Amino acid sequence: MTDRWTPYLSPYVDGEMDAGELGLLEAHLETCAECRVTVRQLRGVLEWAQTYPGTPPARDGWRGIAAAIREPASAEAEVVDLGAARTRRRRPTLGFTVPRAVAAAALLLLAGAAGWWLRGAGQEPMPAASAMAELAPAGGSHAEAALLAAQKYSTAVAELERALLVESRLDTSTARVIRDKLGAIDRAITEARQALAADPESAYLAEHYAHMMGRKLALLRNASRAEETRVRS
Amino acid sequence: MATLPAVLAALALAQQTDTTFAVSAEARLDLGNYAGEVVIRTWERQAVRLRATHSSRDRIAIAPSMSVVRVRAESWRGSSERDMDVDTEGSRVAVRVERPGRPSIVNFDLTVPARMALDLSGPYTDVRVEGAEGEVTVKVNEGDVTVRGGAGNVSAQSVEGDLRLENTRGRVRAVGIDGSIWILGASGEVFAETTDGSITLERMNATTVEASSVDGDIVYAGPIEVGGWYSLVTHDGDVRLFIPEDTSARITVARYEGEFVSDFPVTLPPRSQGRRATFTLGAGSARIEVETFEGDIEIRRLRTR
Repeated sequence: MTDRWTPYLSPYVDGEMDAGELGLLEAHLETCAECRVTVRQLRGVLEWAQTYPGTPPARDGWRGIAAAIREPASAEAEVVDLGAARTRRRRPTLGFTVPRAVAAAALLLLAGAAGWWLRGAGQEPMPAASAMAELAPAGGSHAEAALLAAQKYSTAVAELERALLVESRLDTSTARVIRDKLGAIDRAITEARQALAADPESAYLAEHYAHMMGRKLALLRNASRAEETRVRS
Repeated sequence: MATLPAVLAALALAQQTDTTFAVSAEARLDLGNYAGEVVIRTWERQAVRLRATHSSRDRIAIAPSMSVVRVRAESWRGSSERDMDVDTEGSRVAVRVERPGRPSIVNFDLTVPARMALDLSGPYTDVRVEGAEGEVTVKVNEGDVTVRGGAGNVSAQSVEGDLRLENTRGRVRAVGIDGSIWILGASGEVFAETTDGSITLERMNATTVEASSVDGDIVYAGPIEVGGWYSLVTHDGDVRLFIPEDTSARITVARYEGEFVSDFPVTLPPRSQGRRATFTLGAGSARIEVETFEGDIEIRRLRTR
């Protein structure tokens, strides 16, 4: 379960917490195994990102995406977006490039997805979606990280969908419900992505997009539990 | 929700089983029912009374032991998987409906010690728990779940059906896919998640609340605890927050297409669609996040009767 301390884990790993917050969080970490696991995973990603060479892709697909989402950042300068400010405060201090941040985010998503799938239905997944939002690149928009991470994410999710709906022993009515609701989430993801493309500087839209992607993972996780329920009864 | 198997059960059920047996104070009930209904009541006796309505061709087998009372209807898997074995993990009571070759449709009505931990599951089963004082776990695929009481870890999951949890204490987790969730009178930590359905949280005394829907409204009505954390997020639905006048909280709201309405003196900046805005009530001790992509946000004063 994501708890109230989850949003503080990334700043904690980055060394961005003040002394008061730090003491409270470290006290919590002593008693919360889930948060300790998340801290280890975040540290692992940051260590990995420091060594990531940033190899350019063979085909630069980003230019098309960037062209689609670029809008003047000052269009809503009068709106105080404290959510964005909060997100900026949480950014890692390692000077992420866009490829590094995206790769790290994708790694988190894929690790989280594979983790719960391999562990089975009884375990909580790592909070992949929120972690992705935390790792927005210092030099780019929230949309850049979210959209590129989604490319990797969608492949992993598609594989999970196939495994669950094609290979599982879910009865047809349950599978139909799950397929229908996956479609609903896909529509939500599409709407969030379009909104983000129109307003790539919005931290809310980037995090909402990530949240909807996380919901799809959660639905697949819950569906795997449904299969388990059928088998064990 | 009356499931089709439950309707069929009503037509086919003919035989009653009624037995009472002693259990240890540590015993846990592990009940799996393919289809029908499970009702759990509680009493102060250290014993389980099991009543079951089922076909005359079914047989209930009970194997008592110390730590787990296991109830299964396994013959639905088919004649090749009759599985007549008694699970002997630790010491336990195994209760089974044996009917080779066809699914068993059983209506269970059990009375158990109030503090007995409950682990209930079934693909096509409605579950109702009344007066539990221990841990409760319910997993169904098609069916409604109602849990009144429960302490420690209390969780309910349904693919297609509504979840209703009342007067729970501890960590509450309600996860649906196609169905609505009601959590009433909970204290402790609350996590509620559904894809297509509303989430209603009332009379809460929870310090941590996380509610998320994709296609459904979210309503929270109750006090806000000092230092508490509350997250109410939906994509296509309204979020309505009813909180006391003297609430102390920092509230962040975000919506993309909907309207924002508040009884409190709050004015969002112009052109705040798609952006977060934060305001503080009182000393701002709690944190509240309210977000909807396509719905409205209402923050209202809770009027006590």
